[in-house]
Amino acid sequence: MLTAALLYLAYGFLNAAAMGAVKRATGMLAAREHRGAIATFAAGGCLYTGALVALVVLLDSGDASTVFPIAIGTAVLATTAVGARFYAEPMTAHKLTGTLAVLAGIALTFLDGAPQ
Amino acid sequence: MSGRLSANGIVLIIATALCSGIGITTLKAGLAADPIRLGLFGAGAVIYGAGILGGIALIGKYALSIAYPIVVGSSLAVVAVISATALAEPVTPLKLAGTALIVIGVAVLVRPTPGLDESRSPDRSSAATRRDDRD
Repeated sequence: MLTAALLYLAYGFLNAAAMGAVKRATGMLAAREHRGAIATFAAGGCLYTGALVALVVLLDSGDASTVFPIAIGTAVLATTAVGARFYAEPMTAHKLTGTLAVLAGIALTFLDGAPQ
Repeated sequence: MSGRLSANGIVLIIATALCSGIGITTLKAGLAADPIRLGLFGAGAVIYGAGILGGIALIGKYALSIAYPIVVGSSLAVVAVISATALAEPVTPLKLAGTALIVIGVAVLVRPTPGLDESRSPDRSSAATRRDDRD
């Protein structure tokens, strides 16, 4: 169960980092920094591949209908955590409510049959 | 960045959700076979990758508060339906409740904060929606 939890966390944070890289690359492309944009897109692609590897390992030992909701929820929570920690995005009441709902959903789905 | 979905946007959302859902279940079907069916597995990875590209295009084009919950909700619905019918995975009340809570939580999380998000990025999310409503 600990391995599964760590893999979900890896998937979530790799996904959040990949999304950040792609967003940054898009900005570079708009500013006509083509070399930087290509390098950042490539980094984003590598991070997405890492996330996919974690997802495949999880799918190998669990149901798709269990693994995918937990993975998506973890990715959303990781994005929120990265935003709060590195971009000083405030934790408002509705963000806290959403975070708690996602956490409760992950817990219920995990209890139902996450990989052991 | 638009707050309203055009016909093309709706098509892109449906395509993204289908690619994510079909990609995940195809990956799982390839892994579940004994021995692993590499063709099915590879096809799943490519289809899932197309879903990621669709998601990136959507988030670049539409307000996060609109596109993201719809894509997440519809992807999870597609995975639930295909995995129950094609992969014969059990659909339990606990699993359904958990999935529903995740979708609701995502929708609440990405909702723009009144006042705060508008002052931080006036060209995005709710501000963009209001501008579109006036037009």
